[in-house]
Amino acid sequence: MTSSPRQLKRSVAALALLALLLGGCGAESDSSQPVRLGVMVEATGPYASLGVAGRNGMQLAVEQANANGGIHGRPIELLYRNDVSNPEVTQQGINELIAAKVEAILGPMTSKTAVQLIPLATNAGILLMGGTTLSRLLAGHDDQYFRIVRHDNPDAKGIARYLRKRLGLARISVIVEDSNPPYTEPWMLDFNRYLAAEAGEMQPPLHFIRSAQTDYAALAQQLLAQQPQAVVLLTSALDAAMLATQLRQLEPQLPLAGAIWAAEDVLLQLGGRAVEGLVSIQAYDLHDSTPAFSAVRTAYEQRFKAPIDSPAIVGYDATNVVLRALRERQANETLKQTLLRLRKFQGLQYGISLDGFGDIDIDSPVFLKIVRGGQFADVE
Amino acid sequence: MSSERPPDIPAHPRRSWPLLGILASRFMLVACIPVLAIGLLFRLYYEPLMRSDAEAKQLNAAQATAQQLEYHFSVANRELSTLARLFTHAQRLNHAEIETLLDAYADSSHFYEALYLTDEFGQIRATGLAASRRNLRQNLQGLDISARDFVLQAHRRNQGYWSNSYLSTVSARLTVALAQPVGTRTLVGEIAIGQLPELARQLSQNDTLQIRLLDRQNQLVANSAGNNQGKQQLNLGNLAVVQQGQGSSTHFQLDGQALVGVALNVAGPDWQVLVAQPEAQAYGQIGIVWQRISLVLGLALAVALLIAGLTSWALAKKISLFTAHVEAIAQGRYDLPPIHSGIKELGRLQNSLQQMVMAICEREQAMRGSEQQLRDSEDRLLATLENTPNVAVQWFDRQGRVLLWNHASESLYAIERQDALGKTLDQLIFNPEQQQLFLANLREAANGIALGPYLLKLQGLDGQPLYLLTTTFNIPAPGGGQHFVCMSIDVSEQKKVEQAYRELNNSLEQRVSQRTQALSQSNQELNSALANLQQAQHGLVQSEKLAALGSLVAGIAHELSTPIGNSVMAASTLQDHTRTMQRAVTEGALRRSMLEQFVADSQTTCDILNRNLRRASELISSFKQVAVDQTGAQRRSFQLIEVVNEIVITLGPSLKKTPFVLESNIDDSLWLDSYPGALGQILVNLINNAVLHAFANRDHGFIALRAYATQPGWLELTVTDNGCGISAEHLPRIYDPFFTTKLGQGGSGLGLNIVHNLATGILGGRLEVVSQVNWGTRFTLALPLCAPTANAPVDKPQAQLAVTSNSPPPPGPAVDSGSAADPAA
Repeated sequence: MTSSPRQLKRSVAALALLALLLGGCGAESDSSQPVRLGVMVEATGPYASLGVAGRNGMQLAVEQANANGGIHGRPIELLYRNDVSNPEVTQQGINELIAAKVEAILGPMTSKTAVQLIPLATNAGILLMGGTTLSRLLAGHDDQYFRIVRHDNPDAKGIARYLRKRLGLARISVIVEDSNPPYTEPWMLDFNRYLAAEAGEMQPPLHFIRSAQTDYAALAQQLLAQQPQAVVLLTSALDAAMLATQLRQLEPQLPLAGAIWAAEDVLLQLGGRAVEGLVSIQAYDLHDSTPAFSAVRTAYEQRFKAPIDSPAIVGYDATNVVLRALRERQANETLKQTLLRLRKFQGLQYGISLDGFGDIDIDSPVFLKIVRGGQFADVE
Repeated sequence: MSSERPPDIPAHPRRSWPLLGILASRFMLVACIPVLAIGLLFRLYYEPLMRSDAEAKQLNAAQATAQQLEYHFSVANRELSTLARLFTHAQRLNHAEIETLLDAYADSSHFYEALYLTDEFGQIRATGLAASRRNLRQNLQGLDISARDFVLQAHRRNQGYWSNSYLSTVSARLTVALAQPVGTRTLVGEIAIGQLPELARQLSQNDTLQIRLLDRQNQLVANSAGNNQGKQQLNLGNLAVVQQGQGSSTHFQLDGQALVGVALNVAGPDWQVLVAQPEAQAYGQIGIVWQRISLVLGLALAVALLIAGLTSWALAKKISLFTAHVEAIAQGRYDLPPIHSGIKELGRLQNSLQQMVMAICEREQAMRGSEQQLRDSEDRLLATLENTPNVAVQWFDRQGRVLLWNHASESLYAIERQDALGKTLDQLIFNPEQQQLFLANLREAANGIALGPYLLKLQGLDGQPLYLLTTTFNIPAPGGGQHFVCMSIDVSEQKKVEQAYRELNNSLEQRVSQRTQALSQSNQELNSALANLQQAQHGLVQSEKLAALGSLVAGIAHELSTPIGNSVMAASTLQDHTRTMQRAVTEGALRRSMLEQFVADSQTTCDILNRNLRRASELISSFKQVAVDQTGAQRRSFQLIEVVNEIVITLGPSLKKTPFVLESNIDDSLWLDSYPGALGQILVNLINNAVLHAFANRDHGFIALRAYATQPGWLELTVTDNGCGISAEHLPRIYDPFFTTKLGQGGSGLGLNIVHNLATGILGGRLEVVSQVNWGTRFTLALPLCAPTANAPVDKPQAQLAVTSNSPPPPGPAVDSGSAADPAA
């Protein structure tokens, strides 16, 4: 139909009206579909410090990736589910994530939770990238579970060696916090083995489960009743601080060691002077001055107003591994296949090499640390 | 209906649209304008107002919450600082007392779950716990909190300082603590954050607002929404609204929602209150208003469209009704009921329509009247054709079929009309040959030639031949083409008469020959009588001539007497004068004057003498010439003007006495080889006639002599007068001898006869006369420049010619004699 001036006016008016109406309704911006990753960390409970730090690391990695354009232009979105060390809540959380069809799940930070999550994730075919899940029991399975941390308990070895070799101590007591058995059981076995190999002697471990009623003083007394030459604290940093306080009150010069689990800032904050001289292992050199690490450390501090720590680095590196896999995933390839194809990744401080089961292949370094002056210092 | 458009209605210049569409669209346009205006008003004015309103509400909530929290913490701060001051001043309290005090505080405090007082090294020495927790007092005993940041800050600032949130060693829950320096010791109170979500919920205005509390590190510590799964201590420091933290509404995404919110700082623990709403909710009001406005405007538009549609439809229908009426009128129905309309213009249209109908009716009536007249006249015409009793009129088409057969045709051919119509003539009266001729005639008539009247012979019914005088011509046929009319008259009777006439003619010839014989006999007798008469005439002519001569001599003498007399007188005068002179001389009385007088007188006298004598001499020579010419029919070559002048001179004296004027205009190139005497005599006679007859009883007159060359070898000489003319009854007889109108008055009646004889005889010319009563007379003499040889002596009159009185003029050049052809052969 040839448009006369009258027709033209009408069309213009109609369009203007339409535009007005549409504008008023606040049109929704349609971005491209985001890449969704699930996050299941212990943000409450005794392992909250691990969870929060790990989550911060994941957040930082994702925010940095989004600032660089996301995954091929698609933004990355994190869906948070807390596991609260409550199996039911955990179940519900992962179900929700599976239902939300996330590309992968980041976390958990404890092996105990991992034990619950791994079969669920494997059944759903969703990649589970673990955080500080150190248990040896999780290794060597062909499942959807991947991690970038060592499962061979190098801290057990390091502590055993240090206590035997450096301090020449043979009679060692161990106190175990039992809320994370998949981790603690193999650890003790390893420690026992390493100690025995060094001709040390591990006393029967003292078990407790942390609760609001935990009487650390009593525990300390029980430990000292074994008359150890040194005490190894296979507990969280909080428990380690509490125990150290009690032990050092009773025995101020008692040599203490803590598993990697305990080597956090919380230990220093809560322990204060009581943890001076405590020996532990850290998986990362937090004083690394290389530009890459410095940049991330600075960014972390600015973002979270707290110093970066090991769980955060683990979370950061683990997330970056997953992001890289997402970027380089080919069509008709699962994320797991991508990871197994790629195998080698770059972490903040060292390379990450995955084996066929999703565990770390190469021995990454660990750092023996001792608490001096309220800081973790290198052992000479 | 003719497909041709009358020239005064223009074709549509561009596409046309139905009235419904045009009006409706116009209405819609008009209706859209307020809609647009309202929409724009809302969008540009009210919507921003409403937005800022919502944002203001949020800000108020944030402020309220922040104030509440600040109050909450400031009260906590005050409490602890009071306690700290107490401990500062009460140095002598012992450990148990301190603990009792602290326990009491822990129990009663709304805020603090746990209180502890350290020693100067920062180790906890006294704790205050709620009753349910007191059994774990030992856990805290000796705990070194000196490395804790907030403790260090409190001592550095020497005032209370809030910690970051952390997991309490006492409750294992998220806690925020306040450290108050007590000298070198520190008093720390831990506040459970657990109830803060409840507080937030209270402030959230029935969950319309999402209130989140962020600690110093921007970690989420409380959320009014409640569902905190996985988000405990979630760091929201990346949100712009948190980073800005100063009360301006910002849009951000959180928990998969698009939110708009504002963050305010909570002094004290340096927290932030983040108050947010889903955008849709915050501006939901706007959306609702938009919807309502759109609905109402839409309704209004719909109503407008409806009204527009109805109005246009009604109007279009009315106009269509008018159109239908007009079409009906075009088809001739004038009885339609009037269309009533509330619209003035349509009412006028209706009136005009009715007027038009009336005008049409009138014109139709007038047309019918004139049609009737036409029909009447046509009827009359047909009646004329039909009723003419004698003229048979038929109409034919090109093929010769009968279209009209009038009553006369019926009686003529004895064929009834109904039998004749549609048939060709060969079926009625013609044989094939005649039909072919007829068709040929039609074809000729078709070319515009009217044939006839021609005679048509037919076989009559009674065996007698039928003669018809027929004409055939074409007339235009209705609807173009030609028809042919045949009109016939029965001339059989006339033909019969003709036949009889011819028979009579034959018998006439016989009688004529008889008569001729008798005539020739009488002719002979007449001839001899004529001879006698001619002899007598000759004698008379001679005596006439003598008489003429005599008068001529008389005239001459008369003429001469005057100049000679004058001369004698002049001579005698001269003689007298001379004698006088002689006497004077002799007497010696001669004077000069006398001599001069004498000379003058003598000169005058001599002049007179000379003149007169010369005149006499001229006269004499003229007369001599005339005599010579008269007596001798001498032929010589002469100039015409010469002879004419001579005559004029001759007649001059006698004419001088009359009031009549003679004028001559003669071409002096005209030379004749002829008889001047005869010519002169002619002229004399004609002039005398004019004087005598033409100007009789008149006191004026004019005679003109003209001559000019005509054909080679001829000239014409005219003598014209303006006298009384010759009457028509006399004109044929003027040349007759002895014919005169002045019988007994001097004329002998021979003048013109002589003239005629001379002119036609010796001069070999012609003489014509034209005359009209009271106008004048003109004699035209046509002469050959060379007169014929004088075998015919002048004295011999043309006897034969003189016999018949009505002698026609001699035959001139051949005259075209068209014989009137008799068409009806």
